[in-house]
Amino acid sequence: MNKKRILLVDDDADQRLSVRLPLEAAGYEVAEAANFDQGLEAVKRLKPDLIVLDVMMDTTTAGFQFALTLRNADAASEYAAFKNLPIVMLTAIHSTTSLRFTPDEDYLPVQTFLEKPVDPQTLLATIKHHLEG
Amino acid sequence: MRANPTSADVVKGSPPPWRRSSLVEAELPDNVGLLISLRWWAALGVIVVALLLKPLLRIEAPTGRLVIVGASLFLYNLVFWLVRRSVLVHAARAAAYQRFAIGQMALDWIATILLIHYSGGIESPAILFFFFHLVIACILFQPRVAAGFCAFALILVYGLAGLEYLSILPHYTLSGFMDAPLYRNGLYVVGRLLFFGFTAVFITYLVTNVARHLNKRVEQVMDLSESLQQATNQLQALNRSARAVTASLQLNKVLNLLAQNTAEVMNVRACSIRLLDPTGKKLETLVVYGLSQAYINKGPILLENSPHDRRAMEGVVVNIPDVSQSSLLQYPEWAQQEGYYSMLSAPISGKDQPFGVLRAYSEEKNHFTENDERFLAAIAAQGGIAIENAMAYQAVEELEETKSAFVRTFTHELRSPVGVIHSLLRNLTDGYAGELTALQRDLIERALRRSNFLQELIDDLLDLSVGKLQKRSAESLQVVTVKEILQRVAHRFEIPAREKSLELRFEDRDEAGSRVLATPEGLDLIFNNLISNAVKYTPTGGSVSVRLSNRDNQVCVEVEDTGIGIPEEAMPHLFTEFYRAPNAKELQDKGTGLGLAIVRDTVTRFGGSVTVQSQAGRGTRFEVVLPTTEQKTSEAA
Repeated sequence: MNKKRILLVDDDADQRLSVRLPLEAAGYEVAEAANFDQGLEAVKRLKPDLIVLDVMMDTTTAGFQFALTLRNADAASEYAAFKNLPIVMLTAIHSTTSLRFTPDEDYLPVQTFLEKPVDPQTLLATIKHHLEG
Repeated sequence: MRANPTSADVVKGSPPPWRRSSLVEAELPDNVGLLISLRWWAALGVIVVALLLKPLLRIEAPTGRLVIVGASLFLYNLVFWLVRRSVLVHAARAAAYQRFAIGQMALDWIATILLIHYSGGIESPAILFFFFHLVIACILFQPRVAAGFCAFALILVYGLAGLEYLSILPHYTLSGFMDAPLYRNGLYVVGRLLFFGFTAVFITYLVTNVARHLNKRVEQVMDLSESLQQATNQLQALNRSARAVTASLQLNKVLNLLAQNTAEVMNVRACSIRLLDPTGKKLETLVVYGLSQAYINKGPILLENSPHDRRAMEGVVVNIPDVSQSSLLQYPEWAQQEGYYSMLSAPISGKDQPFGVLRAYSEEKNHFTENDERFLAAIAAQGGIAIENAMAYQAVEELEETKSAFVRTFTHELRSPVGVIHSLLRNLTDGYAGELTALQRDLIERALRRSNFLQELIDDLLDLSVGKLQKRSAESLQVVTVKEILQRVAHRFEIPAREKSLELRFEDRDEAGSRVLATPEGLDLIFNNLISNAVKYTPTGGSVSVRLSNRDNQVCVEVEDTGIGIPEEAMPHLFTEFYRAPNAKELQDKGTGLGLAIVRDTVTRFGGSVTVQSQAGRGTRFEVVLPTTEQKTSEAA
C-alpha cells in the first residue's frame, strides 16, 4: 500500500521532530521544510498529500502567505495542482487572538487550526480525518 | 531690534472713543420727557395767570394774546408728546434726537419772548424766566449748544427791547403794575439789558462748568464700573476655561480646549499653542485655532530667529500692536497675509520654567491692552499646569503600555520553547521514543506538569497584557450578544464537570438576547476564567450554576458554585495579580493567580463591574454586570 506523504513546514527543528515522531509511528511518510521557499519547493518536488504548516516562520505571517500562495494559484500557476491540498495550521498565537483566525473560506481556506502545543493524539486524529474522512 | 520689546510694543489701554461725549446725549430722552411734562404746567400757568390778571390783581393786560401764547405752548407740547416715541425709535442716532430737543427748546424760547412781549417787554417780570431756561439748556446740552442758547436769549431780549424802544414793535403796558412805562427810558433799558446779559452769560458759564464736572465724574464712575464688569467677565471666563481645561487628562483635549477657550475669552479669532521641542531651540506647533494650514506650515519657529518667542520663553508677556511695524517676528509677512495685525504671546509655564508659548492673534492693530496681557498670562499659567498634568498622565499611560507590550513580547517568546518542550515530552510519554521505565515515566510526567503550568502562566500573562494594551483603544470594541459566548463557554465545561460529577446548570433568563459593547475574545476570557474556577474549586458532587439575566438594561452573568469558598482574609486581595487564596493553594498546587485579575481588567475595559460573595466551605458567587448597548444609546439620547 502506498504511504501517505505529509510535509512539515516549520522553522523550529525541535518542533518538527516532535511532530514527525508520532506521524511516522502512525505510518506516514514525513518530509520537512524549514521555511517559506523550501516549503514551496518541497510541495512541487514531493507532491505531499497534506501539509502541517506553522504560522510564524521568517515573518509572523509567513504561514498565512504560504497557504494563500497555494490556495490562490490560478490554472497557469505551477502550484495549480495543489490548490486543494489539505493544510493543518499550527499556531502559537494564543486563544485570545485565535478566534480571529478560525478557518474562513473567504479569508484563509486552511482546513484546521491547532494551537501549540499540540497533543499528538489530536494531531493524528485531525490528519486522519482529512486524509481518509 | 528694540532694546525692550515689551515696553516699546505695549499700547496703553484707552476706552472706546464713542463713549466719551455721549453721557449727556444718553440722558437726553429722559430729560426731554421731563421737559414735556413740565411744559403742561407752564402752559396751564400762562393761561391761568393771564385770565386772573384783571379780575384778581386789576392789572390791564392783553389777556387774549397771552392766552394764545399759553394755548400755543399747550398745542406744540401736545405735538412733541405725540411724536416723542416715534422720534426715539426712528432717530436711533443721538444727533437726531438732539436736534429734536433743540427744536423744542427754541420754540420754548420764542414762546417766552412772546410772553415777555405781551406782558410789558423790558419791564416784564417774565424776563426772569429766561434764567431757568438757560439752566435747563446748560444741563441738557453740550456747552457749545448751551452757549448758542445763551446768545439766542440775548438776541431775543435785546431785539425786543430795541424794537419796542424804536417803536417798531408795539409796547404793551401792564397798567396797574407799571403805570409809568420805562421802555423808552434809555438808562433803564440799557441798565436792565446789561444786568440781564451779564447774569445770562454768568449763569451759562457757571452751570455749564458744574454740569461738565458732574458729567466727568459720572463718566469716571461709569468707566470704573465698566472695567469692573469687564474684569468680572474675564474672571468668569478664566474660571470656565480653567475648569474645562483641567477637567480632562487627555493631552489633545486639553490643548484644543485651551486654544479655543483662549480665543473666545480674549475675543479674538485665532490662537495657537506651541511647546518647546526636546532640542530646546524650536517651538513645535501643537494646536491652532482659527489659523489656516498654510500659515501653520509656514516653517519651523526657531527661537534664535523669533525674538518675541524668545522673550516669551524668558517668562515675559509680549504684545505686538502692529505686526507690520515690529521686528520681533520671524514671519511678519505671513501674519499679515493671514489677516492678523496684532499679536499677544504669553509664556506657558509649568512647575519650573516656561515650556511653551500661548499666542492670541487679532485682525486689528493695537487690539491688546495691558489688561489683556495680564489676562493671557493668567490663562497661560493655568493652561501650563493642565498641560503638564496631562503630559504626566500620558507618560504614565505610555509607560504602562510599554510595560504591557514588553510583557506580551516576552511571553510570546517564552511560549514557543515551552510549547516545544511540552511536545517533545509528550512524545516520550506517548511512547514514540520507545518504552520507558516506571521511574523515567514518573520523572517525565513531573516535568510535563511543570511545563504545563508554565504554559498556563504564560497564557494568562498574555491575556493580561493584551487586556491592558487594549484598554485605551475603545474603538476595537464591537456589539456582541452575551448569550452566544456564555453558552459556548458553558458548553466547553460540560465534560470536565461530568468527569468530577458536578452538576453544571445554565439558566437563561435573558429573552431579549442582550448585547454589549465588548470583544468576543474578552467575554470568552471572562466567562472561561469564572466557570473554570468554579469547576476547579468545587468538590465532587457539587454544582455550578451559570445564570444570565437582564436588569434595567444591564446584563448580569452570575457564576455560583457550592465549592470551597473564599476565606474572608483573602477577599481584599482576590483580584490582585498572582494572589491565590490559601485554601485554593491547598486544593490545587497549580494555579497562576492571574485569572481573576484578567476578569477584573477585562470587565472594566468593557465598562462593567465584577463583584463576589462567598462563604468559606459553602460556596462562591461571582456576578459580572455589563452595560448593554441599549443603555448606552439611551444615555446618549
